[in-house]
Amino acid sequence: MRRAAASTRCFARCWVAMQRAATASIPTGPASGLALVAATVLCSGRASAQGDAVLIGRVTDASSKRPVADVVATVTSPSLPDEQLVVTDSSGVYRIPDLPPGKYTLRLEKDGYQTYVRDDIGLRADTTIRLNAQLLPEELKSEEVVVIGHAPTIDVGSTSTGGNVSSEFVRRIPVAPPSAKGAATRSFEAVAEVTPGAQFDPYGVSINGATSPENRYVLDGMTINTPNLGVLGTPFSMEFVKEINVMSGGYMPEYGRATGGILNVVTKSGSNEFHGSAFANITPGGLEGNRAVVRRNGTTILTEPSLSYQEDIGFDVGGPIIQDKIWFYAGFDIARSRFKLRRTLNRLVTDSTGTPVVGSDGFSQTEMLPGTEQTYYADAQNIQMIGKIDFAVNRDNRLTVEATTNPYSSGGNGKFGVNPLTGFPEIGTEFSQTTIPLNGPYSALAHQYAGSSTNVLAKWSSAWDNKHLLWDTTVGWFHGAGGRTPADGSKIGASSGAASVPNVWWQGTHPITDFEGVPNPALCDAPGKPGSLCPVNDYHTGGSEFIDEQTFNRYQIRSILTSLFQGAGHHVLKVGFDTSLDTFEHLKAYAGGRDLVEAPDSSVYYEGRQYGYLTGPDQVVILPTLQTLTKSVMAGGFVQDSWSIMDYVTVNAGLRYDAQFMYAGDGSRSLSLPNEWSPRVGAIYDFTHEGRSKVFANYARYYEAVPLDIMDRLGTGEPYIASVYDPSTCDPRDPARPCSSNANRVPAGSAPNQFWIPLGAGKTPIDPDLKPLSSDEVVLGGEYEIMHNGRLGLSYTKRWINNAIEDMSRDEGTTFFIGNPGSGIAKDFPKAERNYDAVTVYFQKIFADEWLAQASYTISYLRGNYAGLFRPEDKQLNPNSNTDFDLRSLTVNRTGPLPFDQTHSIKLFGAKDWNLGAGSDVVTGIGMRAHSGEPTSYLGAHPISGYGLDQVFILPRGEGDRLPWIYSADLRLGYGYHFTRDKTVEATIDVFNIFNFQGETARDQRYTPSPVLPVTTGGGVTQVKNADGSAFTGQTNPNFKNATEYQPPRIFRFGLRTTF
Amino acid sequence: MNARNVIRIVLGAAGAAIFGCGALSCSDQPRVRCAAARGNFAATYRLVSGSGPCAGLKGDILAVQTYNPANADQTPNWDQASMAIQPQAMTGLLQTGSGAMVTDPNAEDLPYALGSFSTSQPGGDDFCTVPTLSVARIRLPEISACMDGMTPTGQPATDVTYTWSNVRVYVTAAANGTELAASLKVEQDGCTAEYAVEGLYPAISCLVAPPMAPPPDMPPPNPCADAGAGSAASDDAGTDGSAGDDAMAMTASDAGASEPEAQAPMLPVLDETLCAAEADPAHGRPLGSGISPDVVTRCDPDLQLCVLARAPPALK
Repeated sequence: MRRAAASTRCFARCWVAMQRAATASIPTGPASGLALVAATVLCSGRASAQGDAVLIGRVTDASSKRPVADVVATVTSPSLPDEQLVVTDSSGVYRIPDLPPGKYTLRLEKDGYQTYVRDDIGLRADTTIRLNAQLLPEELKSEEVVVIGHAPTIDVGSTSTGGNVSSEFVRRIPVAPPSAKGAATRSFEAVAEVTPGAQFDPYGVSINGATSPENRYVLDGMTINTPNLGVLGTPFSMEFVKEINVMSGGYMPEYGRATGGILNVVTKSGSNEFHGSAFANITPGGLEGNRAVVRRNGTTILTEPSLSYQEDIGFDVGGPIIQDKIWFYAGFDIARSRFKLRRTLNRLVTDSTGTPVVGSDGFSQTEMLPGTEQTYYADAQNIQMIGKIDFAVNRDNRLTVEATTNPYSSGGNGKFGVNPLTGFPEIGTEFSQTTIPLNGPYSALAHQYAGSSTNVLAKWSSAWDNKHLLWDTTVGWFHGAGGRTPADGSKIGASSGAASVPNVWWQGTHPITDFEGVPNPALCDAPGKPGSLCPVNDYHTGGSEFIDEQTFNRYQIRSILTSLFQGAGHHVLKVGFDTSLDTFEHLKAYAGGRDLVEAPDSSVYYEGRQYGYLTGPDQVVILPTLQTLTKSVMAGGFVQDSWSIMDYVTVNAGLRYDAQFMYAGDGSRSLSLPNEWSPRVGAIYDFTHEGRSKVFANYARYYEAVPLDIMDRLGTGEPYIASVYDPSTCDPRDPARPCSSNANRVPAGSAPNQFWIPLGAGKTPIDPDLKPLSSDEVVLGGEYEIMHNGRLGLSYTKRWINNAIEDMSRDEGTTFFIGNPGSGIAKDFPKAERNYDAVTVYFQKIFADEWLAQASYTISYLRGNYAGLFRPEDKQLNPNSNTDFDLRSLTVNRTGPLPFDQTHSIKLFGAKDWNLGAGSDVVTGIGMRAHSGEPTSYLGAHPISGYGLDQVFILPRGEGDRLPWIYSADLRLGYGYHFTRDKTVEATIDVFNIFNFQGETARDQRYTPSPVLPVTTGGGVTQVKNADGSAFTGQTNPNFKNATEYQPPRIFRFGLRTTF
Repeated sequence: MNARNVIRIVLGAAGAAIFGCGALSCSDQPRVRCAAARGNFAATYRLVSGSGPCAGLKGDILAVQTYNPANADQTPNWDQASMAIQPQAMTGLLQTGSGAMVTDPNAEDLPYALGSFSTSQPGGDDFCTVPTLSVARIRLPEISACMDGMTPTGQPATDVTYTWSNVRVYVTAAANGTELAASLKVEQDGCTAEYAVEGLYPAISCLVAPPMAPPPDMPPPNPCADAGAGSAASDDAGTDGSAGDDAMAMTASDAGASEPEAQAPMLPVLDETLCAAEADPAHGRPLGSGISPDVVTRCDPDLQLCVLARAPPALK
């Protein structure tokens, strides 16, 4: 109680002093200045927080050039509910931490000097801006000195590369194209692609050659990667985001557990004035440009997806609950997407001899079967809500409480789903572009995807000793749910509905009329070969295949202590810890308990997937569902010092420690990754001494946070069981001939079992010497402010992988273990390699004087045999247990240019506001991108069934022709009318891909579906041999080198916004 | 909270995160559970005692499986395991009987032995032990010649018993139950022999494949065809004869090119490189043998299989 009373009195004194300082007339008298200094020392303001900026500088006497101590430095901003102030130390240095991104005004005051005021200081998230100032002694002039000039924009405190994306940028530049993942909500992840070194990948944004699950996504200090796969868990709308800082590399030890980039999101906050906005956007599919049709040779089923619409509507509002004390911010957005799926059945056109006709373009000619056109839709809905309260407990302590939630749903009621992992309709091609889309009925292919992600966090910030000691603690809970359930709403494990019917994959060649009614089936008949003109050899019937429900949680606490002190310069010392507990509960099943597969030669059926195991010879236990609860504990600590020597050099050095322990479904600790020591050291030299330049170098080691998927599957043990059925006695389509008893099983079991083949053992063993996945990085660069608010930079990044964690088999697929390829018990495997080198030239002009610009050119080189946490060739997303290193025979020819190797990448963005007078203005923004094409390869099938298609690199990776350059140009036009300073209405039009370029963005790389050997002797693909070493007699893929994907067509997005 | 307490808390927590792990020995990975690799082992038999026809066994291919009991919720209990062993000799007997429509009339007879591992995890020597296993036994009645329409020689009634004991399986993360050693007593029709068995998974042949295999559409001549055992296959061969003519034509053609070799008995050609873990696509081995590269192997001339070069663990 006594402490509380003392604190209240302190705050009262402090507040009086603040008010006096803020409203003091100039010149200020000696008494007021001293009072202010005293109050400030006793009761300083906010503490530092992750994502906030820092303003530093040295104050000197204009006449003597000597440092001036005890100058009161005050910053104010619309981004800052209350002003912040500190005093300069004996060397004249001030440092104001914990500033949300935005535009600031700095005021420097001291008795005996003219007050110094500088406005329009742009601060970006996670940056340190130096602003040195000279104070004029009062005897020289007796009026307030308002400096007409511009504050520096170069971050002199860190070596991190990447870039910031502000709400000002997003308001003016066309970003998050409708084709991108998270486009409907205009997720921050889709926006982050504008930074140099970033590019879209199937699950998000790849940064510096890493795959997107290697990024760490941070929302107001809290990690929001999904615990199971590591992808973004909360695709938060830019509407509620103040700024994103995309740190591609060179970051300090306070950031860890990422081998990609750090995407740090700072949400908006309320202030002392009520402000808000309402907004709506719609992207009508009817205005799409013409799409290039992906053509497939000899395909009976043709599906053409297109966008019907994307739309969202929402609002946000913020303001004071108690002036200068408590502020709130709230937002709501609902987004919907609909894709149109036009499906037709086609037949081969034959000549008079019955031979299929091949056109001059090399494609077998087909024609639509009359009456077979069908239109399906895939729908998705996403709601986002945020509520945030900032509470200035007193000048020393601040509490922020924030909650966000993001429920989504997709599919069902006759609609297909949109896979939340990819953002694309689940037509089969979202993972494998060689799959025939919609190759089955709705019941076999469609699913519901429903889930949510919720974040609740509380952040406490304290400061002592004139902000020389800061404490910032964040406690958070991330809760998510999701999964894929049958489209008819039947529950996993149910005894009726689509959940109860096994899915059947028909691989034999059948006429389409075996599965679907056709108005005139005779059109499929060739003389003597009924149905042969409408063949299908990849078709699904039955139920919903794999279905699951997921629930995950993350409980995390993060605390950072910051101390500012002098010692041969100025130090900013940070010590912190960062601990989290992740849980992942997974209920998974195959509809009807199993998937049935027809052998390609139709000789047998077998269970492709069925959970189960044997308790004794042929003593089978079938598991209709499998439920696991896995956990991961991560504990880490760090210490870092940023040592500024004079105004010339800043040396950053630190060490981070992380440990991760993973627990399997039985609760036992099953994977230990301790001793992750991450040294980071860097130096920055500002040759202007004014914060207008920097030359920097940095070395860093980064470690991966291993997602729980590997525990869910390999750590817990995922037992499968299979048997083989005689098609003469069983037919999955005929209930009278069920495939379910020993009577129609073929005695093909593995002895001593007659009928059953167990697949997948228990818990996968782990190399006792397992090392965590880490990568090292060197960053060199320089920046110079070549114009007001504009900086030109050059950077070089080199990043390489030290170890990867993967599952491997040394006995060609019978037993597996988890290890590091190339070391430990996997020393006979090739080492995982991913080497990234990039040089980027960039120019960034923050929004000022009614315009902004951002341009970059990156030339990069990405080579290796390991793409990262997913496998781009087939989009397999099983972090740390993809197939890349499963077998030694799979590793041949794998080294080469990796799939995200875009040698050249150019990004140009610019915007200008045009004031038309009378309250009207026009916004114009452009975005132009160009990049060279990615490499392609020659792929074949592996002889071991279970791996099969596209797993063999026939020629060394990347030996195929590269894809062509891709160009796009986007435009935003906006018209705004200002009723008052704060009340506006704005209408916008975004045009993506103005010129409707239809460049080829993906290509069929399957040279052959037959098992073959990799060519290791040179001589090209003509040297390919059958798996037994004999001359190649397999099939060549008629679609090899054909395009499987083109650029999204021209599309318009219309927006309307009102602010108040 | 004052600054001093905050400093204590943050430093304490950071320190605990860093140094607490060392105290908990948390760098250890979990130990492997006891299990034998599922599949065929190439096993050598070393005679310990006994004489007679059953004392001349050199080895066999052992079909091995690992099983786990169910927990109360029907999930598998990975902490307990049992293993079963079924020698190829027993499988062969069953197949012979099956072809002749003859089965073991004793319902209690099983061709495999089954026993439980004594521990959940391997001992300090990385071995898991199955001390005792059930007895594998087959009793077949006499099979007369060409009873199955294919086999020209018959088989007298036989009673074969395999008694396995002290099965020791080498289990590490690198070699997950791929080597075993065991004691075996074989009893067959009054003969008894005891063997020391060493097995290696997987069973890989080191016999070089003959340069030309008969085309799949040319079945070999049926030795029982003249005996009048009227199967469909023998009818075809006897009445049509075209397949036989083709086969003869092929043989004659080959003989024209290499007649002396065709006359000489074919000696098996063995190649130890077939045991190599490393693939050699240039020489027709697209895949490695599947044997761990850590294991020392040799090509056994009797079994024509890659076997352990020494007692388990036979590591390089």
